[in-house]
Amino acid sequence: MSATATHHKESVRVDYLNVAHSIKSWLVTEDHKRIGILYLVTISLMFLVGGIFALLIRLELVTPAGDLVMSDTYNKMFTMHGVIMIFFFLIPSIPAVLGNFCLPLMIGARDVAFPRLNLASWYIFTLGALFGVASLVMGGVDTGWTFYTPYSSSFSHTPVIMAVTGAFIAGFGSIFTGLNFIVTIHKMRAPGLTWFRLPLFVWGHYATSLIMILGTPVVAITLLLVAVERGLRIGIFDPALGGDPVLFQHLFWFYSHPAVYIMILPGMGVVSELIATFSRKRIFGYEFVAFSSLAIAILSFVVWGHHMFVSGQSMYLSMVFSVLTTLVAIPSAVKIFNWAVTMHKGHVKLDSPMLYALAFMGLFTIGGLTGLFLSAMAVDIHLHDTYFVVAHFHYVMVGGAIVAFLGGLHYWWPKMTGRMYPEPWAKLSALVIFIGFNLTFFPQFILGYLGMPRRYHTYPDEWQVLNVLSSAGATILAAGFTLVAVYLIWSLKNGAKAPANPWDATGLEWQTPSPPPPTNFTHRPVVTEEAYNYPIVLAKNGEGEHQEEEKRTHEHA
Amino acid sequence: MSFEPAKPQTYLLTFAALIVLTIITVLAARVVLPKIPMGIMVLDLNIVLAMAIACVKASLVVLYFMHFKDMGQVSKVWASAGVFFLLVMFFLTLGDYENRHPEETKGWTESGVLHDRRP
Amino acid sequence: MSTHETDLPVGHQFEDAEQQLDAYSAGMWLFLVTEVLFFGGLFLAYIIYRTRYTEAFVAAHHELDWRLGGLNTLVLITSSLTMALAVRAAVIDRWKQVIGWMACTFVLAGCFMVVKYFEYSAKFEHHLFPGPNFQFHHPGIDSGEAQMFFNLYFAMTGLHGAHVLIGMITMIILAIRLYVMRNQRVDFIPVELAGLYWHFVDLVWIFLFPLFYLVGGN
Repeated sequence: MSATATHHKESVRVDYLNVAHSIKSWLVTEDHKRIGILYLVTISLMFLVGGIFALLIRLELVTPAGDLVMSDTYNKMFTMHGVIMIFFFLIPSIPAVLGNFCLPLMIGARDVAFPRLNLASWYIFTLGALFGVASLVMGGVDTGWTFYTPYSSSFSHTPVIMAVTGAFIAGFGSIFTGLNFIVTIHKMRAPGLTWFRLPLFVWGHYATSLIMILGTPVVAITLLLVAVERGLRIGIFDPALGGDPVLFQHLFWFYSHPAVYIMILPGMGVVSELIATFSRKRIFGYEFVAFSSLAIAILSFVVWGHHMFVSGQSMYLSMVFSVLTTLVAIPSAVKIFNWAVTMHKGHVKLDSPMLYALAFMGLFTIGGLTGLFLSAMAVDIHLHDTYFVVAHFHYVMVGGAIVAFLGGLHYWWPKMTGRMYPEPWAKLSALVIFIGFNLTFFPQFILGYLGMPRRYHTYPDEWQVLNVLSSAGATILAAGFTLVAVYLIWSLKNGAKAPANPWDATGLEWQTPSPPPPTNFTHRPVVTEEAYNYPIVLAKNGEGEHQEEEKRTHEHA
Repeated sequence: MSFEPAKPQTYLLTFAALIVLTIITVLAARVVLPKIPMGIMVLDLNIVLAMAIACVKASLVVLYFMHFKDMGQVSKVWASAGVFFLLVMFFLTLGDYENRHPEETKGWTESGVLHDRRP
Repeated sequence: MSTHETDLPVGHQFEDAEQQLDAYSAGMWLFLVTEVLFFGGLFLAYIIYRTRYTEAFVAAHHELDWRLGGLNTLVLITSSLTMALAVRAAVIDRWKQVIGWMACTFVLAGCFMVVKYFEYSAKFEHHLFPGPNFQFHHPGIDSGEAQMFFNLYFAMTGLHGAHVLIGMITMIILAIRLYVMRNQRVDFIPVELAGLYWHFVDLVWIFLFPLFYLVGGN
């Protein structure tokens, strides 16, 4: 992708960071880049809180007896871990940080379509997060992150209203982000930037926004109803009032299953960028990868019933959901295959972002395939609510979403901060995270298969070895994350100055200096080529075929 | 896209049509139509009729008051997508209630006495 | 592009007024899509309980006065008309007319809320608000099933009422803004967007009215 962009002299250049320094200038900023940074700070804090709970959970599970905390406290720990990680970290992570920062740059716009709404979304999200933290300070919620009724609405003695209000409010932040992205992608693209010249990151965010727009309102109303049922006794879900708790589950999962794809779709967008850049090749089957994002988003709305196989849902409907769920594997596999083929005969460079991308491919494949096990109704009845499920969704959410987030963060860090991070440390911590992650969660597959239920703080003695392995892994994982935090913060002052395009990547965001000027580009870019238009280099053994194939692909688009 | 002002007559005609349809929907509710049992649910034809009239009224509001003709392509696609996914939610969820075995849901029609079980 | 919009201020992120108008219009419609799904969850709950508890719903709805509901329907439809005229006045750059029509809309919305207030207080007096004090005695009708009708009634009309209030606040803000900027060409985009929102509020009520006040076969 080529573009016209002017490069200023480094010494006098005004960028979005040095244009103003006061705290107020950050709090009233309408610059999408600064808002992305604000989001990064907020979600990092939430990740820290959620991570501490994860460590406490693993610490309790080192021994079979419940000797660290009481069972009630344990209930609160896993609930707060889930609520904070899902509503206040994973859902906003990639879209609100990397999406906010990169999307307008990638499409050659000066900003998102509604900058003030963008800032409002951060404030709303932060307010929601404060409610979440308040529920924690008030003693913590013990319902599980799913807030299932009637326990949440009638029985729990914990500040449920506070927590659901937090999730409700944060949901509006998410809606505003999605709304902004959709209008921005539709209306703000640079001249010549047609849909099939867009980076796949943008396609991924478009699909994500679809879920944010169509799903979030439903969970908003559902959580509102739980709060109202608890506070005012206007009960829609309580069986004692003639209500049906399964209806809560339907409404909840109508959003909360697609919400899983809010976490993973932008991650897939990041990985597409990384694979293309570090293989120096156009993504194989670009159109298929682009449309598979939309297919995943659309399919995500018709599979929610697989969370409810043992809830009393009609078994005939369960069969329908079971079949529909397996369909999600198709677009997901399309992506994995196409990334693998992209790397084939590419000039693969194993820089740290690429390490994360490779980790994503492996871990997401495991997470996705175990999802297929769970989509089979009969298997799910055996594995439901066991550690197999816990391992499955952590492979998708940590192994998928967080690994992709870290990959993207490293990849765009030079653009965001104008500094390079220390590459050897980055490679090391990527390795530590990979090892720690697998050690934490792989034993949980086995534990689940053996029948260890989730959400209990005691277990029979024979499962101790696997649990200790898992807890040891969690410690390594935590060390890995800490390492990343330390050297990234260190690099802010001490990192080498980043050039405009350290990875020699295509894409408009690399055509502007690092960090970018406040209005992104000095001249409006004009796009004349497709994304990922890397120069064709002959493979070492000189295969002419490869070259021809590349050419053909280019002509097609 | 632009917002060329519509003639006030268009708005007045729409308004009149909405009033007439409101009267029709009140009158239609006075006719008792059959109720058809479907699984554990009952389909009431009165409500079907009332919703059909409401849909006509809603269409008038969208077409004339909300200037459907001025809507951009994006808005049209997304508005349709919103309605489509709403119907997906309705149909799949109702598919559950429609196909549940009556025994499975026996308990939840018998309401209990309301107690506030919190401290 | 119509001649009316050429002299409107353009935000720094936009290239021209047309792009800005397109973006705002699409943004508002997307917001309304989220509103459709927001209310959608409640409509789904209504369908399910209505089909399960048909007899109780028919019995319970007699406690609502369809005349008041009908009156409110007419009030809201009229307010939609006045709002449409306000938008029209904004497009043709008549700021006094815009404020006048919005004032009409505001008054009508106020009437709606007053009627709603009397309806609600009557329900409270007759112990028809769900909760420990709920009382509904009707031969052959389970009071818990009837209570579900009122659960949904208060949840859905309450949420709708909140939207009416937000609309009223928006109109006050817009009117002040129009007055302050009276020497410039009327910025019709916010008026148009508020209009879209207001028609949506009307649209929701068009469905709520038959669902609660006209439950089959009076």
